[in-house]
Amino acid sequence: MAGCSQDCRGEVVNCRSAPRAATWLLERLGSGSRFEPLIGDLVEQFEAGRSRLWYWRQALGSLLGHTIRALRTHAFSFVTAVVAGCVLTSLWQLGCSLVFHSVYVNLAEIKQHPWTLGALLRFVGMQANMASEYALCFISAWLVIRVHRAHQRAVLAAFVVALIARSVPTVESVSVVTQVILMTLRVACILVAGLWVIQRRCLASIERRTRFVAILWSAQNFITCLLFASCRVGELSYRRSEFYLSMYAAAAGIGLYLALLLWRDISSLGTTRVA
Amino acid sequence: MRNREFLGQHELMVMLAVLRLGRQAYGVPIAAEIAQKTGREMLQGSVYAILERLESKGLVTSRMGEATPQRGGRAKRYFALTAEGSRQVRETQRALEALWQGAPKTAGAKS
Repeated sequence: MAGCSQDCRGEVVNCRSAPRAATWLLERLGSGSRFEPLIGDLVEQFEAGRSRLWYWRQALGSLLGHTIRALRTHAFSFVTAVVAGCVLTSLWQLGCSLVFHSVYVNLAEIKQHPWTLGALLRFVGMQANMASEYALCFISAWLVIRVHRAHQRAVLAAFVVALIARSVPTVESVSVVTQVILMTLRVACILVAGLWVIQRRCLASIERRTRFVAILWSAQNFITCLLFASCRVGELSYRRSEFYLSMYAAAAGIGLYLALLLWRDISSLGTTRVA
Repeated sequence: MRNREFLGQHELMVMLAVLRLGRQAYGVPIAAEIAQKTGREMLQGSVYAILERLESKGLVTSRMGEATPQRGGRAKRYFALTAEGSRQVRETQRALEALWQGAPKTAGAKS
């Protein structure tokens, strides 16, 4: 068996493990139990000496084929789900821009009169805007999954791709880095929310790890708010580096959560031991 | 002549591989058999997609087998032709043989 070592009794004890990320993708984006024998076949052939490149090619090819077949067999509901998600996102963002527009107009006023009721209301408005962004991610992911139930992971991936494609023309208008960070955050948000909804099936039971991440995330937002407020109240200049630091912290939090999910799901695969 | 739906090329290849392998027909040997006999390597996922399509048509059946450590603890899925599947393979064979008989040799073909 290629890649395996033998102990003193001549038994095979340690084999190289199949690419975990590829297996995780198959498990997450494939159609659940139907992919189990396929993954087993790939692992078996990998253990028999196939390369990592071969494994990745098989995994990505199988997923692509699965998505295309899903699209062909349930084209109407698939497209409806993605379009509904995109329309909801657009309407929501339009609504938010109208509602919260006044909050962001002439921010210098807050610096001059930081303790007025108006300034405090504007802080509340900023937080409400941020909360609405997270709510949008969750609701749009939920809507897309509900509309197209046959292949939930595939439609979630398609929705995310559609959102990225839709945002490309706007990249030129504002700072590219800001746009990329915001889009990455939104995509990660939708993916996490969507996968969570799929996994949990309902909102009743929230696992401990998800609760922890939610608290962490809320704390991060609170710190951002505090930082912003202190800059305004203390009449300090609002530096971009602080803003980016805060954004990176949020991205790192989501990344950590995904890594934890990945680690939990694939740790069972681990190194195969053959007695 | 009654209206029939003949098997596609890939469907026929997969069904013949299942037929040749008998009780040992699961994903890995099916793909290997096709690669060995035809020189064309199919994606493992495509083999399963074809088998699932055939199963939905009632031409093959499947059963879950044993899980082994070599497979990361995942079970094998064995396939077998149904009576209708065997009949369709024979029918396709007869149809193809009838078409081949009397066909002129194509240019460049080895004699």
